[in-house]
This record gives sequence, C-alpha cells and structure tokens, in this order.
Amino acid sequence: MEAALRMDQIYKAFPGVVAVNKVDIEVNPGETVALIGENGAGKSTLIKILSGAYKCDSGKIYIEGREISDYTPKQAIDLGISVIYQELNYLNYMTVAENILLNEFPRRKNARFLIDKKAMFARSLEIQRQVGIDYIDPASPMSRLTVGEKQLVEIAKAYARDLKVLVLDEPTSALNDRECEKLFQLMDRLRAEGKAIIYISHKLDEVLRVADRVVVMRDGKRVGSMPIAEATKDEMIRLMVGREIGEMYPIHSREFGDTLLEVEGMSNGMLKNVSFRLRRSEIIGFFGLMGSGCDEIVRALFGAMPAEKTVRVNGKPVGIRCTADAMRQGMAYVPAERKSEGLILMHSVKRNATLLRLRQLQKGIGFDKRAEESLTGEWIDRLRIKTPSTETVVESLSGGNQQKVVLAKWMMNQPEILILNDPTRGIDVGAKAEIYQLIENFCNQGLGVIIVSPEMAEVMSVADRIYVVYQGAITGEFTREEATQELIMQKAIGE
Amino acid sequence: MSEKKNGFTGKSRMRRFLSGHASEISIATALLIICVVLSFCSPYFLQIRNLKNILSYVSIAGVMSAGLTVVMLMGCMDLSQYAVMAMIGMFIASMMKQGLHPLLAIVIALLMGAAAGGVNAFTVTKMHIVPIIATIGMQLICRSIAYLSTGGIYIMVDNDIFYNIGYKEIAGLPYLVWALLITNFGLAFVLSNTAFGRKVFAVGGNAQACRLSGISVEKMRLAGYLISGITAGLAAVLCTTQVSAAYPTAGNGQEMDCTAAVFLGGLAVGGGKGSIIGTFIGVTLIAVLLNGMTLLSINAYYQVLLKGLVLIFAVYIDQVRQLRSAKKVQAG
Repeated sequence: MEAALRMDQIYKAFPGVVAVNKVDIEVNPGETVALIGENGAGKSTLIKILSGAYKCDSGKIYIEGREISDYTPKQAIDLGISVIYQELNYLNYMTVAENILLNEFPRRKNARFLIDKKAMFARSLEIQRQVGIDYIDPASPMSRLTVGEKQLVEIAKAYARDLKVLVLDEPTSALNDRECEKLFQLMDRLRAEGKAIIYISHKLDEVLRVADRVVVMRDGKRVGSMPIAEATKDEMIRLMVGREIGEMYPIHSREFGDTLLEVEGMSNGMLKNVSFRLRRSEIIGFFGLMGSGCDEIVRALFGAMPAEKTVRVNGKPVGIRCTADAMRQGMAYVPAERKSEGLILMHSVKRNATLLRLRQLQKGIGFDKRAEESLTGEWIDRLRIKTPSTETVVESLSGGNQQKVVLAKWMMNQPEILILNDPTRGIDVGAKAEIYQLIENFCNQGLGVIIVSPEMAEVMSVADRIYVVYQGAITGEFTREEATQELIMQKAIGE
Repeated sequence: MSEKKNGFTGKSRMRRFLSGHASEISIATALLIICVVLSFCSPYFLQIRNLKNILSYVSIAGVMSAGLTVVMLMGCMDLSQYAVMAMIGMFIASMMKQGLHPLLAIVIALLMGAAAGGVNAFTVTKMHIVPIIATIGMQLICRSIAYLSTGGIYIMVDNDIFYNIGYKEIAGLPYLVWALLITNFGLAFVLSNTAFGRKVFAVGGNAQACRLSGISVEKMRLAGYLISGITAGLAAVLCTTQVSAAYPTAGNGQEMDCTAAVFLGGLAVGGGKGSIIGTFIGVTLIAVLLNGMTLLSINAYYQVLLKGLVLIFAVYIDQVRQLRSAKKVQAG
C-alpha cells in the first residue's frame, strides 16, 4: 500500500543549530502517528516544513507516492495537508458555515458573484454530518463556540478540502475531558475513512489512546519508532530525554545564604497554588513543557500578570501589584521576548542601558551626560558587550549582546532577585556560556536568581534547585543532585 | 573593544552627529533651498518685516506642534488642539468682557488647556479609545462648545496687554515669536535633558518594555496630553491677540497642520524617534511655502492642496527610512 505521507531524510538548519536532522516519517492511510519529544526536539520545525511554512535544506516529501517540493502553505492545503495549530486560526465574527467553506463558497446559479447562503448552510451541515459535528449550528458565529467546538470546526474545514494528511499540534491543551473525547471520536471517524493523522502531544495517556504508532524525536533526530502495542510510558520517556548535558557550562557549587524570597499560594486562572522559595546566592530553575505555566509564574511574581499570592522578601510580607512594586522589592525581570519586551530596538545601547537610572543621572535641571556615558561604558566592560559604541542602535547588535544590554539595564539597578525568563533564547553557543558565567558571578555577589527555560538541559546545568511545573501547578522539586532527566520529564508530563 | 568604545575622534563625533540628526538636517536643507528660490522669485521675501511676519504667523501652529510632538513621540495623536484653542479663546474673551484681568485670563487659558488635555488622556488611557478617534471626538465637542458659547458670533477683545502681545515687539522680536521660541526650545530642553524626556522616547519606542521596566506608560501619556493641551491654551491667547478678537471658527480646517509639521520634522510613525527642533523646522517650512505662494499671488485654494501633499510626502519619507534601516539590520 502506498503511504499517504512519506517524509524522507528531512534536514533543516538555522544559524547555529540543526533543527531537524535527517528525519524519516511515514504515515499510512488510516493510520495515526503520534510525534513526541521534549521542547525544541524539532517537532514544530518538522511540521512547519510539512505545512510549507519552511523549506527544508534537503530531503524529500511524498504525498501518495508523488514527490512534492517547493510548495507554499496555500499549495499544501490544496495538496490535502492540513495543520491545526495550538493557536487556532479562524474568523471570529463569521459563521461556522463561512469558516468551513471559506474560499469555496457556493455561488448562485444565475449570479455567480453572489453567495448562495441557503446552499452554503446546507453544504456546511453536510460536511459537519460527515465528521459528526452536526450538532453545531452552521449559522452560529464562531465567537459563540467553545474552544473545543472551534477546533472541531477547524478540522471540518480541513475535511471540506479533500483532506489527506491531518496534523494536530497539541490539540488537547485547552480542552476539558468531554471535549477531548469528542475530538478522539472525530479522529476515529477520520481514521476509519482512511485519512492519515499526525498527532503531537506531551500527554502520554492520550498518545496511548489515539495512536497506532509512536515516533520520538530528540535534538532534531528521530530516536525511536514503535507500534503502540509495544510502547510503554517508561520507554517513551527514556527516549525523549537522554540528552547530552556535557557540553553545557558547568556552574560551580556555592554556599547559600539566608532565605531571600518566599512565595505562597500563587493562583490565578492559569496557576494553581504555586509556592516556592529562594535563598541568597542560589539559582532556582523552573521547567515545564510548552504551556505549563512557568512563564506565568515569573510574570505574576514580577507583577506583570495579576495573581493572588503571598510574597515575603527577607522575611517581610510585601504586596506586589505592578512591576514598579516588584522593582522596589529589589526584583529584576529579563523577559523572554527580548525584542518586543526587553529592549527599545530603535534606541542606542546607552539609552536602553540607563533607562532605570534616569533619576540618579539627573543633575539639577540638566542631565549628567558624562556620568551616563561612563556608567554605560563601565557596564559594557563588565558584561563584555560587543558594541562599536554606546550610541549604537541595539537593533544592530547580535542576540547575545542584545541580551547583555538587557542584563546591564537591570544590574545597574542593583537588584537582589534576578528573574531570567528563557535568557538564552536564540543566542549562539558561545554567548550562552558567557551568559551562564555572568549568572554565576551575580550569584557569587549574593543575588538570588530565578531561571525559566524550555530546555531541560539548561535548567539542569544552571539551577541548584529545580521546580517542575505541569498545568499551572508545581509537581516536583529536585536538588541538583537528585535531578535526573527521567524524573523531571515524568513530573513535567504529569505522571 | 574598549578603545573602540571610548576613543571617539572629532571626525567620528561629527559623523555621529550627522547620522543621528539626519532627518533634521535634510529638512533644514529643504527649508534653505526653498528660501533661496523664493528670495530670487520675490524681492519682498527676504525683507526683515516679511520674515517676522512668517514667524508671527507660524507662532500659533508652532507652539501647538511642540506640544503635539511630545504626544506623538509616545505613539499617540492629538487632533483636538485647534478646536480646544478656539473654545478657550471664546471663554477667555467673554470673561475679559465681564472684567477679568487679562493676565489672569492667560493663566485660565493655560489651565483650561491642561484640563482639555486631561480629558484626552482619560479617553485614551482609561477608556482605551484609539488616540486618533478619541481626539477627533474631543475636537468636535470643543468646536461645538465654541460655537454654542455665542451662537457663532465673534467676541472683540480690547485691552492693552492683549494688544501689545499681538502687535508689539520686545528685544527686537514680536511677543508672538518669543512665545514660539521659548515654548519650542523649552520643550526641546526638557526632552533631551530630563529623565522625563528620556522616558517619553522610551514609551514611544516600546511601551511594553517600559511597562516591564516599571515605567507607568499611562502617567507618561497623561503628562504628554497635559503638555499638548497647555500649548493649545497658549495658542488660544496668541490667536486672540493677533486679531483682537476670539472667533469660534478659529483654526477650522487647519486641524491637520500640526500633525503634518510633526511628521515633516522627521518623527517616526508610532513614536520613539523625532525632535522638537525637527518639528519647528517643519512648521516653519510649511509657513514659508504658504508665504511664498501668497507673495507669488498663487490662488489660496492651492494652499490646502499643498498641505495635503506635504502630509503624505512626510509620512512617505518615514516609511522609506524605516524600510531602509530594516534592510540594513538584516544585512548586518
């Protein structure tokens, strides 16, 4: 039998990293293949290649035995490849029928430029019946549907266009149990009709429920493939982790000081009763898979996101309702999105670096430009920022040096608690090592550091203590000595 | 790296100045060229009296443009200034008719301007209305109040202090021109020499980064609208003195003049980059062009056409500049 989809030796490199390294995947008609792997294992890149969003550097893709190459996302859809991303992609104010039949509205016979509304609703209902969601009113606007229903409508939309390969990227992350079951039923129907499905998920129970075969990726490579009958959770976890940690920067052990920060019962729509503590000179790390809530924890701590919480700094209870409150308690926050949240790209290194010290640089009615220049120069030296001058626009610096400018800005403010949200995102290996070295230096000066990273290896090599987060709650806490990749991964997938 | 960082020679300092002020320099050059051409076309153009005329004429738009620059640097807009000016003019004129002291009237004008700015800040930052819509609403409201105050009739203002401001000179320059220069250079100083000024640029450059750096973007925008409102209040005084009367149609149809001048002065759409000096040159350039058209007896209706072309051209230049710098970053 001809495979519905065959991806052959797919290779894709980005500057500094091989994202997908000679990966083979084959999905037969009527087969569901689960694709699993840690954050950054290369799943998303592989799917983007399939959907036409990226072009692979080498490798071949076959649909029903026919090679396809150099196609756009639009052409991919015409070829029968549909990807349903986590972030759904629909027109909120249009009806279900309009969404399902977008681009191929039924026209009136005597006036081709007008849409035949009656035929549109009838056709939509027919498609919905075929996929088993005819209980949704085709005339209802998308905005009235639940997340789960919207997702089912998106699948129906894919189905309406001669679907061959359906890719579902973490489809259940926003669904409740009942909605999940609806989705699985729909998948079973499609499978019975001979559609090929690629199912990406971190939830191993679901994988065991829906898949016929599991493919595991790690570090851009395919490291395992097995029929579901032979798959066990332990085996899947073992394959997913097992990453090389050796090359990361070694952080030396230190004496920890007194308790600096205690957080208790941090809760909001996303977080559930999160508690943790941090000592002076200590580095704590938060690890969780995508969407676990790590990002929300540090944002809520820094007052950038509302949450109920009890926070004590140096033993004293403090209220943190906005970022300025957090800064008054000696906190500094290096955001994950360096370009959109950390820097003013169009401004100079100097302007970015001294943003928090403006009041101190005010001299009488004027501005002490000489002190500003020398302060910036001092930090450029201390953090070894490679920039032609203090007046250079930060947009033109490399990622690593941009991140150092953000660090300089915060360190000038003499914080006690440094919060780093994914501090090495998009930074090359050399600059990463420098950032780790800086973090260690800060710790030796008595700062407490909180680091969030989607890379387990990074958290394991940098943090003295690791909190594992799953669905907005802390599910595990390990010291550096206790932590193993298997243990962390088990907690991160809620086992 | 350290020698690269600190050892600027005089030459590279000069180059740095030139590249940092590219938009101001290019518009100043344009102004110069237009002046040279006009001085050949009309013998009256370069006469001191004509130049003072131009600056007096530009004082109203120039004062408000300076305030508007602060708002626009923060990525906002204020299209209500001219209407606020007309409304305040009517108020102080009628109060002076009732016997209010002219100096007190000036203070009240500034306070009312601040209040109008406060309303704009409220609709923009608290009600989260897009600035362009919010301030057009304010424009319509204030214009209506100006008409309603007298049923559309102008109010004569007859007192020495206002007459002197409008027609007399001090230290070789008209009072109007002094008001223009002091407002512009004062705000230019504040923007480049105070923590507040630095934050104005920062908020326009990246509001989200500012929020995460503990800067209250809302308070900054409030301050911006207060400044732009106060300049509208000052403009109301200048406008009333110039014709010895307040009239409800003052500035009608000129609502976009200041915006055009600010863009012409090199302000980046969305804020974060720009300068009061650039705006000042921009507003002067428009005035010189209009003055030239008058001297050359070109039909006045073409003046509106010219303003429209200037507005589109100025924003287009900004787009070209942004495209080019985006390419440069990609290549680097």
